[in-house]
Amino acid sequence: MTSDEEILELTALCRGAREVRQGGEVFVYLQGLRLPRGRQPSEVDAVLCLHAREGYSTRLYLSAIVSGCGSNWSSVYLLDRHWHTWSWQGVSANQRAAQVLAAHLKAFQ
Amino acid sequence: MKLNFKAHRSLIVRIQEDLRRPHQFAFERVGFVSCRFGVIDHGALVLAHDYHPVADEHYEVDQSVGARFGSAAIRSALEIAISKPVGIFHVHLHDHPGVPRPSSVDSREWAKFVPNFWHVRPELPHGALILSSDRIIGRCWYPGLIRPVAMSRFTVVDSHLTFWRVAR
Amino acid sequence: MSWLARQSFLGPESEFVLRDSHALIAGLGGGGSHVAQQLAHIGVGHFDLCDPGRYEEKNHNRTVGGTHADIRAQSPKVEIAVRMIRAINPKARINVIDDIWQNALPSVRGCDALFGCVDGYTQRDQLETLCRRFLVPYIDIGMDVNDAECGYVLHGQVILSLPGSLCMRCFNFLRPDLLANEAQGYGHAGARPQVIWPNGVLASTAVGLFTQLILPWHNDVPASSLILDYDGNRHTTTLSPRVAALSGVVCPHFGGLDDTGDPFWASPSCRNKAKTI
Repeated sequence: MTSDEEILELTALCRGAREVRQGGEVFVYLQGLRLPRGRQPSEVDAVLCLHAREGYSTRLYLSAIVSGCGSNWSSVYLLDRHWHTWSWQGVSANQRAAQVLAAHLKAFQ
Repeated sequence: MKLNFKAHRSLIVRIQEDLRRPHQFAFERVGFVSCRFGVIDHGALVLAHDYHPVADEHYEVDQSVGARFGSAAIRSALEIAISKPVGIFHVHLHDHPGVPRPSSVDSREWAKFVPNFWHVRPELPHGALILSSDRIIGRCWYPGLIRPVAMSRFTVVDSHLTFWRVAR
Repeated sequence: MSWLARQSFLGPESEFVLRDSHALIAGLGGGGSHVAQQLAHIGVGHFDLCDPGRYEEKNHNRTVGGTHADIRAQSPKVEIAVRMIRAINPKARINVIDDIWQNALPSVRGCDALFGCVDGYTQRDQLETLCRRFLVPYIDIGMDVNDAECGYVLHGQVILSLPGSLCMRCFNFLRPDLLANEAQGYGHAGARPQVIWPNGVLASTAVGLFTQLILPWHNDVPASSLILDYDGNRHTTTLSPRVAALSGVVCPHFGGLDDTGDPFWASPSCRNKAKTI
């Protein structure tokens, strides 16, 4: 469970954030996540996974591929939507949600 | 637009069994089915998720109709929609084989109370279903549409998948 | 006399049921091309065909309907399947998804049954999850060839995953370690062996399961999901002992409200690249 405080912290980078569940797993849906300056697209929807999944400690799924960034992009059907994720390892779940998010977004800086 | 309804057979059987139970004074029983949805090509899917019978004490005496329920029943159904992101579909049973047909009373009463569910869940469809012993029909009040839409294809899922179309 | 007269044992309404049925085939390679051909022959009336791939020489040993001209033209695999289905049943309605299925979710959600003829555990996991969300029976086929002391072992599976019943995780066919390895890019590197005859067996079994699902011709229809093990060395297809071992078990992986329907209803829907021809 992500605390209300952590959800609020996430909204510094997006228009809205809320928990969504699938198959007993809890994710955080981020509506209108702003990507680092200069990236295309500049804003995406996203799903933040704060638990270990498919061999990754945490993971970020985006509604669009970020041009020229990231490697090994893959298509994922999750929460009844098509998401894109890339190979970005080693972002620990032992930190606040906003820190996890920031660590994943470093891929686009 | 096309609206297709799907339910697991175990849920349909559960609904039929409940609706067949005699009531102290009502001629028939009624209930509510909570539904989820999905966008498909040229329309939407209505997915039956759970069944909520109208409590015995929520019926009102009215010998002119098969069943009459009061505001307490509506309140209970509204509470379901408030607590979960589901559409609410009224359901009752015409216990014969073949495609059931709504009476003029059905159509009139549905139009009165179904849109009330938009007060709590304006973004979701709500509606009404009639089950027979082997078929289902339904009507849906879909957000953004003034008139209700008849559901056109019905699928019941288990180890025997059955589906049929109902002419609008 | 109807061209389907020889399958009248399926019931007096069978022609109409099949004509109204809607099958989606994800993957039109070695397994999916067989499935497409057989479904067309039995009279399925509505197809969604999904594969983003182009036909290459390496596909030619096993893809039903593929020709030398298709190799030269690098024809879309969906186009080959369309041509084949049309030649069998000109009246079939065909929705072409020349793309990955994740880009055509409105089409995928709306089918009556989904045939998963794809590579990899991840695709299967995601397809099954979608099927569970939208009460779609999922039929999976796949084969593999492994090195062993005795030579090579050819094996495969057909899985019928029914909403409300056991899933591929229940059967231990999908496991977290397999999915993790695949996500990390570990496991079998290079081209996986694929040949036509096991694909034919698996596809035929899958089509038989689908037909039994919509037109059961006997009273002994299995009431739940099942997994069939294909032994390509002994040439047998048998019910996996896992089915009996899991008798009475309720699937814990799906079924809650969170796993039903669209959790983002009222949000803009996905792009749909399907076209109906």
